Amino acid sequence: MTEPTTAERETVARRNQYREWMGRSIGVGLAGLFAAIGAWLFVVRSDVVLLAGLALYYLGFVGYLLVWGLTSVALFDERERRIENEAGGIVATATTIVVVFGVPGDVVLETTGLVAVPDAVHGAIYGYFLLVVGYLVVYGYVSRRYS
Amino acid sequence: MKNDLRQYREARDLSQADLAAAVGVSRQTINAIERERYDPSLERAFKLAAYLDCRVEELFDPRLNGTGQAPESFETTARTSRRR
Repeated sequence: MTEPTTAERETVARRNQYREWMGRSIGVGLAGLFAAIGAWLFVVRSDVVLLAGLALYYLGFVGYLLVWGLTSVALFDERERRIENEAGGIVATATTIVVVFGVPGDVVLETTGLVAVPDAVHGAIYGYFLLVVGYLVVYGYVSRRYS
Repeated sequence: MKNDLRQYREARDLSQADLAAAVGVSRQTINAIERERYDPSLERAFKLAAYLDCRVEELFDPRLNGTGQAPESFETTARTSRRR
């Protein structure tokens, strides 16, 4: 059996370590938020308590993003990245289908007055539309890196 | 893709976690490969073969899924088209 390179083992150890930090960071943020809500409900009805909880929650996610963004170690292995890609692809396809059918349908129904589309549906369709536009822009940017 | 990863790993008395750490993936990834739910990248397949001291084609069955046949080589394809 060939000895594995120390680099591989170090990569796995660092990946596990960083992912643990990321998990803890989010855990502290969530715990802080829930503790603040609990304190606000049962102990002190002060806005400061809620704001402090919100600040902790944001800090937890900022900590997660800092570790994710600053490390050079791949935090997810190839199978996990493929799962992410496939899941993202399915969501992108579903969103595009909603936009392809939804936007013209919304315009025609509104114009003819056959059906009054609720504002919430109207907003959701155009929200999806903006997501698809964003996706296409990012897709173009990423595909340039591979061309 | 069909593979003999489990047999090679067990023959060397390695756990999935040991093998995973040696080739830089998670234990779940090794499990998924053994259960033929996930095909590793070319780079990972070579790393697995190198670590287990075997050739990639010994570890992974080159027969295409469903056909039960190995893909034709360039030589075979060229010979067939020359005959036509």
